[in-house]
Amino acid sequence: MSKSILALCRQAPYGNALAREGLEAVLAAAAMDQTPAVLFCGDGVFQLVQQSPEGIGEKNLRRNIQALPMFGVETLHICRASLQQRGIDPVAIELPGAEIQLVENTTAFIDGFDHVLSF
Amino acid sequence: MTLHIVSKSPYSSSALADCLRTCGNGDAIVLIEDGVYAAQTGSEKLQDFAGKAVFCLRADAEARGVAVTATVDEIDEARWVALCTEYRPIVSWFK
Repeated sequence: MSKSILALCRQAPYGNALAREGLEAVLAAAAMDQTPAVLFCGDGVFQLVQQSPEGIGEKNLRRNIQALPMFGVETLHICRASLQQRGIDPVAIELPGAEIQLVENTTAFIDGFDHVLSF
Repeated sequence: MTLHIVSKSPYSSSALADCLRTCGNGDAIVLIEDGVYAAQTGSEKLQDFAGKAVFCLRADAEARGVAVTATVDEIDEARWVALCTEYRPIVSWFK
């Protein structure tokens, strides 16, 4: 029986490698037919805002996140409180081809999975 | 019910605060490595644990000279493993 997997992404995109590693793990799992759900919370919501990291020699993480629907991750779960705390409008993080689902109760949401990968 | 494992000091990381934000009724928290500093008797972090099942790895607390408060349950590795089998899922808060 296959187990449900959640990738919990709570790091901002460029301060450390975890944000990108999380995305790569999700893509790898999806390619192996183990498509995980993804929840962005805390500073992880910063991964989704419009960004231009060329000046710091980084690749645009949001652009890579846009590839998720092509790998079968069509819904992105986002913690509403984290957005609100950081002054981010949910409209500003919309991604073409992906459905944004705002999560009110992260406790209950996380509880619904067999495994949680933290990034 | 979820088992939350916190391994960073509450004074240098948001790991514990983020964990507490998603920790619901019936969930449990295990403090390991630098996470055990939150369990120090008299720590102001203790009030956040009210009504929650909180465990702390004894070896990590002893190694750091942390005097664990009475409301936090000191456990050994075997009990930690047992907890990992009793809860699902397990969430690591390590940053």
